[in-house]
Amino acid sequence: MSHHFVRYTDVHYRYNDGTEALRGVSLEIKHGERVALLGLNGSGKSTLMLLTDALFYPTSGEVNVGDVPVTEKTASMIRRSVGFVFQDPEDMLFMPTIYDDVAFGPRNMQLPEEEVMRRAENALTLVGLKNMGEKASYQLSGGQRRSAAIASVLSMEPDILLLDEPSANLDGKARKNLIEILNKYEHTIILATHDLDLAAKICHRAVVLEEGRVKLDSPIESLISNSELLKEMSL
Amino acid sequence: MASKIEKIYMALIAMEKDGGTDVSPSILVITFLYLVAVLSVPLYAPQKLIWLAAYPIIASEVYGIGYSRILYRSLWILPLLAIIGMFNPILDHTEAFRINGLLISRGWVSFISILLRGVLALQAVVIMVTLTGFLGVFNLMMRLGFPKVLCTQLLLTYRYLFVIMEEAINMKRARDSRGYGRKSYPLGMWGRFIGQLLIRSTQRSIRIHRAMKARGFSGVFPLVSIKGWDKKAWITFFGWIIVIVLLRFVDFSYYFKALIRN
Ligand SMILES: Nc1ncnc2c1ncn2[C@@H]1O[C@H](COP(=O)(O)OP(=O)(O)OP(=O)(O)O)[C@@H](O)[C@H]1O
Ligand SMILES: [Mg+2]
Repeated sequence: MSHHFVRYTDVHYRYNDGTEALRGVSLEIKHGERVALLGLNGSGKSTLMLLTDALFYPTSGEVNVGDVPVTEKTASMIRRSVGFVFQDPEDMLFMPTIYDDVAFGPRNMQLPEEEVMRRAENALTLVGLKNMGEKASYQLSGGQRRSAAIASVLSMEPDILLLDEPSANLDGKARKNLIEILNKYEHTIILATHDLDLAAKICHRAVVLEEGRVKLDSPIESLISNSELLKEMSL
Repeated sequence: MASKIEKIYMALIAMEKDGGTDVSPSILVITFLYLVAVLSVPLYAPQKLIWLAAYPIIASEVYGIGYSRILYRSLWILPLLAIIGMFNPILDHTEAFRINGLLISRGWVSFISILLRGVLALQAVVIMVTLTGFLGVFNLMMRLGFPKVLCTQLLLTYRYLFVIMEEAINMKRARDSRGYGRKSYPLGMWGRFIGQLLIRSTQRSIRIHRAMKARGFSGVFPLVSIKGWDKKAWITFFGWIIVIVLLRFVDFSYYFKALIRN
């Protein structure tokens, strides 16, 4: 996977109960691009991310990460290069301590323990939880939990970073810190959010989903500066 | 105010978080041997258990945990054991011995034996978990060659317990906040509560498992750093084995009586 592009070709996804969450998404995201995934509640943002990290597979159509099609067979390879910060941090923190949570990914990658420690401490420092590693997740505030969840993915140093609503619960300082971290990040970022300001500060490109389809794909500047268009997109 | 379930939850978390200070593989084997020693005492000879009761006291003091903490954490199981052992005194009236003419039946003897056995076994396990944390225990099991898949299963089951408790706490809060200080709820509501709880915790477990997979989890839990069997581990290991074997097989009361007589 030398070129970490992500390509969606006419992707459909139907949930077990029959909900058509994605109805023909086609997109290509180049390596190093930072894309804001926008759209109303239920428009399919989270679903698209789950497909990108080989956690779900398209009902029809195809997702490619680099040259590799996302299938059950390639899942573990895909997940190695794709990092995914879930919408709900509670789902990501399940170890006795925050440190163990942040070290979970690197340990799964079977890195030597010194490297695991280096990465975990580095990631915790980045998100501003330097001395909080020994705490249990229930001892953190909602915003700190969010930061810990982000750290647990940063420690894997992924080539493609998926973030689902990462600024929810963050205070001004933590939010600013997040923007800084992401702006230093050299690889691909796909950011699903309702926080337009955050999107504009991090991303170059905006993709708006509506009822499982791409409604708009444009430079984020031209979307933000066009209030007519914003209204039309219900943003 | 923290509800009962919140208190239990906090206590479990604290126990788990304190662990990991001295994760040495020997503690697992020692605990296992102690359990064998306790369980191998014949049902009608509870007096032999008295000496084995020394192990949790010595161990908790040696490891600096403090016996009172261990005692406190182990007593909650008594009611459960009482239910299990309840039928012995009811069904078995044959005479075991008499104290000042008062007949003590074999049923009562085995009842006491079950209580003691359960508390002692739990104390040994609590000491181990306090030292290593549950994660440590599962990791040690893997180290000692237990199938990895089995250990991971156990671990996930154990984590599921937490998930259920967290969901229960959340639901209870949500319910109480709209309950206007109501203290009791009709039975039907409990049924719905429990049904809802199971659905919610299952859903959440699925999401947690998904998040684990997203971080490269492939069905086997990664090992946390554990000490190897160094010299110190061997020494403590054999030290404890000797203590446990002595406590199990030597009748100290005999020597005590001899001492007193002289
Ligand atoms: N587990 C599920 N089972 C059935 N339908 C689901 C499930 N999860 C999501 N959906 C449905 O799929 C559609 C897309 O949901 P998705 O979570 O992708 O939206 P989203 O864009 O991330 O929304 P939000 O901004 O609220 O996070 C919605 O209509 C939703 O109701
Ligand atoms: Mg979503």
